[in-house]
Amino acid sequence: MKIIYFLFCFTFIISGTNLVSNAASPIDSAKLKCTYEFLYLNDSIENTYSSSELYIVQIGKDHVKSYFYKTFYRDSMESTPAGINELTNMVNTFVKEPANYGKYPPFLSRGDFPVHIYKDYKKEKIITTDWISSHRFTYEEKLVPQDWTIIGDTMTILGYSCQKAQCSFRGREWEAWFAADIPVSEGPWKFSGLPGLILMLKDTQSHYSFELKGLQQVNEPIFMDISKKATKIDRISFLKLLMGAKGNEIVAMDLAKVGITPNTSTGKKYDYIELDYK
Amino acid sequence: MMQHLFKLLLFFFLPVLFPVTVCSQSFSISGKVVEQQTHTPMARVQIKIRKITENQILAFSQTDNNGNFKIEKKLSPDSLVLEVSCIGYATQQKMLADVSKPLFIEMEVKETQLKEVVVKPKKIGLQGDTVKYLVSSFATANDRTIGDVLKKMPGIEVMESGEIKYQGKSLNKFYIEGSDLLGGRYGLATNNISHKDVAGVEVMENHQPVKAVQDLVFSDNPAINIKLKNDAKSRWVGTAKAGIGIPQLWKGEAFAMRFKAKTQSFNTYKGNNTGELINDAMVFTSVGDFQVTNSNTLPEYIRVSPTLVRSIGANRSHFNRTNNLSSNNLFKVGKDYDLVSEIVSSVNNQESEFSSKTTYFLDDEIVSFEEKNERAESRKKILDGKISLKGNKNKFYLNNNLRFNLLFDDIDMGVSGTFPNTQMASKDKKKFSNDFDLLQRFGNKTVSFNSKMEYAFTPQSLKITNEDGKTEYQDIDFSSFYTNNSADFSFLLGNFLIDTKGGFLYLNHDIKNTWNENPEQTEYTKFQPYITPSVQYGSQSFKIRLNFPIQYQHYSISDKKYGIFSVTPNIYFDWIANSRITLNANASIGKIMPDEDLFYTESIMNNYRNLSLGYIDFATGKSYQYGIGLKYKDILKALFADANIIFSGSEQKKVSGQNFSENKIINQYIHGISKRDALLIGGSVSKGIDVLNGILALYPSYTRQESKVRRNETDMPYESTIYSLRGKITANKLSWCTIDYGIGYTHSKSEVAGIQSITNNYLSESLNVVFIIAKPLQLKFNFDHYCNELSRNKFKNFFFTDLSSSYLLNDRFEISMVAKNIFNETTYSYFNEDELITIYNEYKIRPFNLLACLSYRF
Repeated sequence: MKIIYFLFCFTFIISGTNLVSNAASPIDSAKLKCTYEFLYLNDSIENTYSSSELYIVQIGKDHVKSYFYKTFYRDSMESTPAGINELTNMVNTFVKEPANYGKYPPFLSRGDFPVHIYKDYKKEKIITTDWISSHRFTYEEKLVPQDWTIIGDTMTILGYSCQKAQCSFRGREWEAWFAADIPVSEGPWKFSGLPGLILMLKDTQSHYSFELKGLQQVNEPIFMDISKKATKIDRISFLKLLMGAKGNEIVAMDLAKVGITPNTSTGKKYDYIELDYK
Repeated sequence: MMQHLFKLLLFFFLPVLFPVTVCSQSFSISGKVVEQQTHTPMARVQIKIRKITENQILAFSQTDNNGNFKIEKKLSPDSLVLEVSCIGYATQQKMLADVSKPLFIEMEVKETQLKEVVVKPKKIGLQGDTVKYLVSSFATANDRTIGDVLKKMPGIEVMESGEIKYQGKSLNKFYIEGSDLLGGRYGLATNNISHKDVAGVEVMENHQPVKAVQDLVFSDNPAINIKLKNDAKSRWVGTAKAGIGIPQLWKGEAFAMRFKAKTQSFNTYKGNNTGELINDAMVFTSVGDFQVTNSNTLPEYIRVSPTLVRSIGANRSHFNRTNNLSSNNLFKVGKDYDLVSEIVSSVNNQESEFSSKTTYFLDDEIVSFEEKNERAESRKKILDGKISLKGNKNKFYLNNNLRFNLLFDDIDMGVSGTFPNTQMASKDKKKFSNDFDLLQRFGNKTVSFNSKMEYAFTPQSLKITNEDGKTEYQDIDFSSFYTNNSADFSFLLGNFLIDTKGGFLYLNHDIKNTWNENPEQTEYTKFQPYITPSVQYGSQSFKIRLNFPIQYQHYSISDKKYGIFSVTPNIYFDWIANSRITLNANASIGKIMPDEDLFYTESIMNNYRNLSLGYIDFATGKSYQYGIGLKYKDILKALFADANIIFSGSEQKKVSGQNFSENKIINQYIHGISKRDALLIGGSVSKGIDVLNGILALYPSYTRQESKVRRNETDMPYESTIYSLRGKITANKLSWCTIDYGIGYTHSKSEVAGIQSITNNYLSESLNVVFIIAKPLQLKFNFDHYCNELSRNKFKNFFFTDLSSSYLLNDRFEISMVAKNIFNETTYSYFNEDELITIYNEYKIRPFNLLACLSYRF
């Protein structure tokens, strides 16, 4: 039995410490960096919102990358010696403790939305990378700007005069406030196509919202990292997997592999940003 | 009449229709945008049409990848302006009425000055975000403690043991009113504080408790802070619980706490004779503050203890009387310093009854002996104390923990059978230790020093009286001093990460062993400097890591001195073939160090049957291990599979042997070569089952080991194999009921070079069902079945069935009822084999028992 236990730990130490950075190559250079505050209703029954997260949009000449800062931070930790070292120490400390026998080091997990969205205007497509439990996925879709209707309302956000626009996108009605003075047709998530940067975006049910908190003119590389481990899939199948019973099963099986039974699988109490998978 | 009506309508509608026809005149404009200097087409340049006087955008478009654009809109071009803009270029405006078609626009480079707003990303993982929960909005009539309410808060999970996780992550701190009073023993708080005394719960995500490294060292672990209600502060609050049951069961619990601005106090008592483990004061590890992980293990020479029962859990076979007390107190010293005292004491009297038959297989005979009606009475007293001083400032961190751990462990054991006797053993442990961490920050660099020191002594004694009244004594005085100090450095060189950990360890052991008034003494010291360089390389699909531990161990025992230098490298690589298949392999070489626990002269009597001879020898052995693993997954089908093959083995220059005298087994090492080789094949297949909203999983495994034992001066090579298969199924389809079922089967076989073979089979299954009948009423059902082979082809079934329910009366009172072992099994027996020794075990089990409890909150 000791042998088995040792091997078990060994495998964990190894898989945990193998965190050397993936050599991602820059695909473009970002000229503008937008930082949004992201909120979502993580329980539409209890009406509780998530804690706020930062959502970054890097805008380059032909490419736009958007991601959650938390996921990025977790990923970039793996690319610095101090970060790897810290993670390695955490894993080692974790597995050495008999109380943790049979448990997966929880700090290796990512946030609620570990999504990276890459818009490629040259090829007119969007590449998305995402996770379910410990498994990576990637899917592609055509880049089609939303069909917006501009409404007369105006509002000032971060000192910019904004106009209101509406669109309907994959099962939700969205309201955006954009600044014509910032001449980039961009926004968070997969949104684009307005004559100015979207400074605020939310759906009419207020399940999801993005609000610009920071804007910087920069000159920094946009990195793209699509792991070889990622399963290629189409968008609808992925969302069905993520939001359906299979998503819970995947989590349960990952846990069962290390000997943990999840107490109950109550399912997700929120619905996805895009609803057209139903 | 109709004509009149028509004229009238025309009269009213004409003015309305007229402007419409004017506006709906279709307007179309197209063009191309290029860079002024290079004349290259510009993509994604914004084209807007608006009124001269207003900002309102009437139509818009942007250029495509070839710099072309086109706008078609029903509008009149009069007094409208066309605006062409792009970041980094001067914005151009043209009166729409004047423009020639198609347009050709040259953009001139010009610095665009946006009003920048810099957001300093809140240092996620450094200070972290705080999520606040209002306790009242989550608590229901069914809840008692803050632990019950925490379970319902989104993202918070409370494990069976009381450990808390937030979004699957372990806590690194549990604060009450912002102070770390309980340390890792926070189960005391979650299992005792009433939720009615708590106003709010704050979760600090990614909490780094050491302020000085908050922006340097990432922490992904959360911390929880419990905010008490004002009326629960500055006064004593708490709970009390009493239970009574048959046969003659009792249970009592009390808890009181008081939180004031400068002092905090937290006290608990728990006692029972129900077999229930009291693990409130268990220490949950946290990944936060610095820790020196390497610790000093103290040898246990006297081996007299009630054997632990396999599979069914100690609470079914132990008859206990347990009393636990704990008290934690905190004093704030200045602004940044906390002084915490902690004292935990427990008295645990335990009785167990058990019979066994042990058989040793020898070359040409078997030696077996029976232990009948073995009654063990163990009295364990624990007294742990800690004083800690922690200073946590922006550039400076200091933590000093001074601890003592005292264990008084007495066991009386009486046995009839082959060698009727009584044994009285005492295995005390006294440990005094100090951990010291100091960190000073200079800009972005830190200098830290971590040190652990421990002094321990473990007086152990054994008195054996056989049925003729003849007595034997064994006394051991063991003391040790241990210190370990280390530092760690790392840097990145391209795709290579180079890391070095270094430090030194020093220990001194002194053992005085007296067997029947023949005293012996051995003292030895070990000095061990060590350094472990490691290199990692990683790319998209290939990862490799090489560790190169180098250490030197210098022993000195009386006048003997000996040094051992060792390099024990290990290598690992991982290859990701594609999204479905991953392959990994590893290999390591190790050195088997001298067994320090055997560093004594003459012999030690472990128990009435066993005598072990000391063995002071510095010969080292070698060990190896290599293995490969394959993982497969098809996520779309929710199918996962993996397989591992591992070879391992060792070769030592000492052989362990047993010699059988009339009434003793003499365990000793002699010079010689002993080898051990093992093969392990394991795997798993799991599949998600949609109809059940659950999973089905199978875990097969196979192990084979070749080794030898030496009995009565004869080597007995043997081969043992174990096959096992476990299965598991879960179902969560119904909202009022969850089901979890598991089954396992094991077959083992040991063969001595074709002469003898010993086989054993057993099967176990377990079913857990939870029913939620109404909000204040819950029912739990648990059914375990074991089928054990007691002798060849003779099987026996055991069934354990438990039922529990709880009901809330009102705010302050609650009743609960637990029925255990409903079918009243009285014994549990099984058979096991290891290294050609078979043991048949039979335990007395707690019979059917029922416990009713009432609890009250003040």
